[in-house]
Amino acid sequence: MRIALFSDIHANLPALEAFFKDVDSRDTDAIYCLGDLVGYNIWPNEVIDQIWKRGIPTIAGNYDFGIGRSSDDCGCAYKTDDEKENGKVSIAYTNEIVKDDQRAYLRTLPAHIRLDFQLNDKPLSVLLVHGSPRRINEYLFEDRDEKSLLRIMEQAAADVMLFGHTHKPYHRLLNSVQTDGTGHYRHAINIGSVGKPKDGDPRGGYVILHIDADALASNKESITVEFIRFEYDVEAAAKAVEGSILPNAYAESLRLGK
Amino acid sequence: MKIALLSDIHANLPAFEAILEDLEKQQPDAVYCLGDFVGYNVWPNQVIGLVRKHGIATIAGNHDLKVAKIMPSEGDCSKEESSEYAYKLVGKKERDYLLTLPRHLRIEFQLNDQPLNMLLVHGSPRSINEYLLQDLPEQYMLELVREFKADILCFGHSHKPYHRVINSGENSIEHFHHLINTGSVGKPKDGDARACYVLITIDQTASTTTQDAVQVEFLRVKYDVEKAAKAVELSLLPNAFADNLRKAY
Repeated sequence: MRIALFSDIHANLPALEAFFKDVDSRDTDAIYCLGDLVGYNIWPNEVIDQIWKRGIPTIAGNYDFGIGRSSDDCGCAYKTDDEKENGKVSIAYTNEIVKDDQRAYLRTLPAHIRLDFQLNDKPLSVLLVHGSPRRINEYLFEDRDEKSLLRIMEQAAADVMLFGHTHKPYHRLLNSVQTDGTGHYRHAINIGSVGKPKDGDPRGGYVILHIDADALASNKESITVEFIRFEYDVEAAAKAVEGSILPNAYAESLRLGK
Repeated sequence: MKIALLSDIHANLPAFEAILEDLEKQQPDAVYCLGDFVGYNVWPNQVIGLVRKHGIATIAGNHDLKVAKIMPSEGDCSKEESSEYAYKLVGKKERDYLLTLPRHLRIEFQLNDQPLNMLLVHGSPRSINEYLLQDLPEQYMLELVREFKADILCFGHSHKPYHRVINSGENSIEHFHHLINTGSVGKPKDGDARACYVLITIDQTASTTTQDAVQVEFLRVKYDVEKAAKAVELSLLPNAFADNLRKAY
């Protein structure tokens, strides 16, 4: 089974269209979206419409949660005063332009999706969340303490956990050893961002999860992740920001991938 | 949120194509399929090809797992009528697809600061083969939805669509559970030969204490039943399967 997972499009229509073109060429078995469709660019309605039209199973991101409720808080952790000011402009602008039907779509998105596999008669649980299983806006960065990350996954009964939110892709393999001494591998996978990467690479990013027909939690090789980067018209997305009342800093972020 | 659920296509390509056309009109927000892509007709590979092309999220049905045991014949071409023929037709790539499908899909909503869990299974949460028929005792169903934490339990397998609401609430606090049988796209057994699927609309006010915020609509779609029945008759499959399609039993 090859499952494509993407997230954090953030109203970047050129990036979303390039993503669809790329993923359609890769013959995957299913596609899921982990949220944050809107914010920071000018195409929130168009992005929602494209995902909607394809009937893609989608969970809510923190920005979707905020806009769905016409809130002025997106739950984002802005650090500097500039970031906070810019953030206010972005959420006010997004609230203003998102139409009723599209807002209703965001309002009723589910929080989590879980896929329960039973290959070889053994359970294998794949959990999709936006930030973390505990909070829609918790950042799970790559340098997270291993014990803390394991605890989060054990509490959520997740053998494979896929999430976005930080816009920085990674795959960490964790081993929670069982009482009988056998390995039980857990995979923590940040799937990166389609429309606002922050890892220094301005190309859009997503993942394809490969699950073997005989995949087991005790066999770490039976579950693998492919990180995919695709080119898109970054300039068109950056220019759209500059041509709007959105802060120009967002255009620069797109050009630099940060 | 408007969610379309399909199930029990059973290799019936004309029925599935008619449903896909209808989905274009309905424009649901998400589409899920509850398994049983194969068996009883001649187009398993074409059906799976379309499901994959449309990226429809899917779980396994009991017939899908049969391909692990029934392989294509390697000897001389058989001329013997057999229901096993339906599984022998399934291609290598399609077998791999069917045999790595998840068993259950759980969609957790938190629309009003409390969870509302939707669980998708093929037969029942306990077994891929169990029939959850409409007239099962309420106590049995209550135990099932409690054990598996399902506020909206969706399943197929019996090919007989229904929607039933039960209440597990205690101390005058209501807790509604929706039991939804999706019916069958490609082999209805409720006397109506048209293809069947279900649209579930989840309102933003939806919670376990509100009953009407989850609306369930069964859609019946006309398709070329004769084409599907003739395909059975021209194949090594038992002719009874054609009669099943024409009369929906």
